[in-house]
Amino acid sequence: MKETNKEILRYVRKARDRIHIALILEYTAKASIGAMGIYMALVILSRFIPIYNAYGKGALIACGIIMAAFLISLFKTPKNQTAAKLLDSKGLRERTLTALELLDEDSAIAIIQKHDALEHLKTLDIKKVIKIKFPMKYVMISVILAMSIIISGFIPNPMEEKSIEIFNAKKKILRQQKEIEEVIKRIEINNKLTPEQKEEVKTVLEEMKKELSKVQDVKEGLKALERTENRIEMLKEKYGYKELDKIIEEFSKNEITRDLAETLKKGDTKRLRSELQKAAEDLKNMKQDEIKELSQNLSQLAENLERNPELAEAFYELAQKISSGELGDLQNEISSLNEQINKLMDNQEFSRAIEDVMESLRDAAQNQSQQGQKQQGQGKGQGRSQSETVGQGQNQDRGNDGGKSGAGAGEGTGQNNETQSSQGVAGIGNKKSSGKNVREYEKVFTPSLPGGTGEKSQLHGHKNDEGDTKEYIVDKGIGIKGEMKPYNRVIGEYREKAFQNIEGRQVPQNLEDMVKNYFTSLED
Amino acid sequence: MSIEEKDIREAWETVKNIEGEVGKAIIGQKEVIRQVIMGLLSGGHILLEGAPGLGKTQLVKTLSKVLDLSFSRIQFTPDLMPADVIGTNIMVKDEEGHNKFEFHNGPVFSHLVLADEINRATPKTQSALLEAMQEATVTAFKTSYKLPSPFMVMATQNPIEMEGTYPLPEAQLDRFLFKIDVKFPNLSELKDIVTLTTSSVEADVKKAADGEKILAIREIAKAIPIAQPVLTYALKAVMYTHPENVDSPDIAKKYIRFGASPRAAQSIVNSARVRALLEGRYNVSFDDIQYVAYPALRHRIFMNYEGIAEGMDVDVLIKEILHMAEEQI
Repeated sequence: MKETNKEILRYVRKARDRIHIALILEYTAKASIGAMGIYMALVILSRFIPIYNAYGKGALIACGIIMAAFLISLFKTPKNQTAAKLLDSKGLRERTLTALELLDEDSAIAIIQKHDALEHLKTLDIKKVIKIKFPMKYVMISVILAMSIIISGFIPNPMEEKSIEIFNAKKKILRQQKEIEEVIKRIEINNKLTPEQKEEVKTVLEEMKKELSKVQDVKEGLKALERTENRIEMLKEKYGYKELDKIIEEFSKNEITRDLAETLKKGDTKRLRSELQKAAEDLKNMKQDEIKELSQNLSQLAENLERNPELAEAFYELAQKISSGELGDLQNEISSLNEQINKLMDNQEFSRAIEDVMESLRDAAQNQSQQGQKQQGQGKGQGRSQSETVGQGQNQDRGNDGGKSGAGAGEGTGQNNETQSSQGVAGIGNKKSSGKNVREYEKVFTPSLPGGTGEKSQLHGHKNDEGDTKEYIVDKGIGIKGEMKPYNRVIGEYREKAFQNIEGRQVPQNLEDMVKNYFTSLED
Repeated sequence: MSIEEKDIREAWETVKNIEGEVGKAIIGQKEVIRQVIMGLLSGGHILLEGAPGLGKTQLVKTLSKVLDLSFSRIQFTPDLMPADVIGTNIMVKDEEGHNKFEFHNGPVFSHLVLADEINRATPKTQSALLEAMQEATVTAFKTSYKLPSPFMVMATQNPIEMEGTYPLPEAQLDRFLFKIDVKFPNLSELKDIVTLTTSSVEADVKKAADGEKILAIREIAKAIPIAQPVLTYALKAVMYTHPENVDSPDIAKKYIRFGASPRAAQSIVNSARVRALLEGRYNVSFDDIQYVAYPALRHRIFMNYEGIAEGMDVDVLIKEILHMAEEQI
């Protein structure tokens, strides 16, 4: 009985194995058609929409599909019942199927049935009834499709370049996002910032992250970075970074307050009060005209601190006392000034932390642009001006935009053959430039200190003549009151002014974005 | 009961003999003969439908001869009463001269009962056969009487003369194992029929089995194994006759009012086993199910108005249902 069972199972398994092999071949061949079809579709699609590395991806997908089909079919062993059914379909009339179910039964009819089934199975040549055919038709179709794909590879793809651009852009944007995440982490552990300040910066950065997730190319990504930088810059200004600079500058001018300026520079809040006391004592030994000048300077400083009215008032009161000659008791004014400057210095800590953030953002932006743009900046460069002055200088600036905008022109000095010297001023965005990516911009003449109190410059137009005539009134020798500057610097100055105006609420709120967008667009 | 291979072989040979002997007296109609024998061996009853004169009565008579079984014929008419079928109590005198009631068997007390033109009797009389067909017993005056075994009712009905008839109710129809369509013979068969019946030569029909043998074969048939996929196929075929079944084919949903009962599934499986035996096989095959599904389902599928109006053939429906069931295995 056991022998009969074994024999039946042997036949069934033999049939099952052959079915399995046939299935593996069939599934794999069919999958290869599907895979090649998808590959072909991808290749065709890549000619209409930009798909990066369509051939590579297609090959990968196709291999994946074929491999998956092979593995699935390999592990999808047909059941004995399936094999039995197939054998029965070759004229055995469900004998095998029934025998398989009766394997564990020993009743008389079961034994008879199994014997009968085995006898019939023996009459079958399983190799003949279950043939393993190589699915040539499917393979041929796959080969034709594969050949078509290979041939299509020789036809130029108009979308290829664009797809590469998009791919790079996405990669960079992803890197930017990671960088921002890093910055957020650093902000979290920065002890110099108050929780509110942290929250404020984090909000800005989170918004930027969101913005970056929506952008489609590097250009937009850089703009988003720029916008974030601007917003952080505004935050800095909000917390009085600039005010402290103004005070330091003003204090540096006077002998008495010079030490005070140094203390402020160092951020030593503990020494501030004693230095203020010392300055008050020194005032008593000053000449009348020096006291007057100091008083005027302090008044002027108070006027310049329009964004910090409390500090301005402290300076103004001090200036009033000094000008009125009441140098005996300045305790109240010094206390008030000490308090306000301390506040400012606290905010200075914030500014420094923010500066760190901005450094990181600049680095991120620089990385993007260095890879994204074809133009490369140079740290050292030679420049030719339109006023036929040849300048040679060393630029140690850090650029925020790298080769694209070369926006940062910081502290570089230049020399020309007309002994004209120039000092770098902040470019667009008033950013420091690494100097690696300095682009030569067309130079434009700009009068010194436009609208300010500096050197005079006059422009006369002759209406009735054929063209405009420009006439420059100069003070000494060959020189002009003003200078030829790369236009980006000029724009930078105007931009800075515009942003100050926005900050000072001088620009209507609904036009703020328009102004920002305008200056951002100029950087492109 | 222990079944040996020789028993099965013997049974198979017996059935072949029965077929052969019946075939001597009935010209053509081979499928009808086969299905009637299958019905007998399955313990079921047969409803024969066909025009008059197609040898339905002759078939039953011959079968009784071949099987050496008692035979009675009841001609169903509108005035036929249940007592005319099952029998009744009549007053008789006992040995002491006292009057007493004694049950006198009706014609139903035979192994083979031919209920000729069953649809001509009133439903009351028709239903007199219900108990006999289902339980093989007859109850009269609170007393049940066992019918002889094997017992088989073969009813006939004429599909063309419907006037003055009482169509069998669904419950009655469901008690028939098979409904067999008796087709008109072809020219060659008709010639043979005429030659045989118009001459003085009578068909030499011999006894091929007896009641005991039939009962033994029935037991053997019941032991024939059926594989699960085959059984599932049979059950699905029955399930798909129900229009409310979600998986039923669209044609079934469109034309069928009521589907087959579970008794249909029993009929199919039982008769498929007999068919396997008749084929000399020790297992039921899909073919067996397909073969018996038509006569087993034909009278159990009730078409809706749409089906009747469009003249939908019930066999076409069954074919579609079987096809669908086959696909689902």
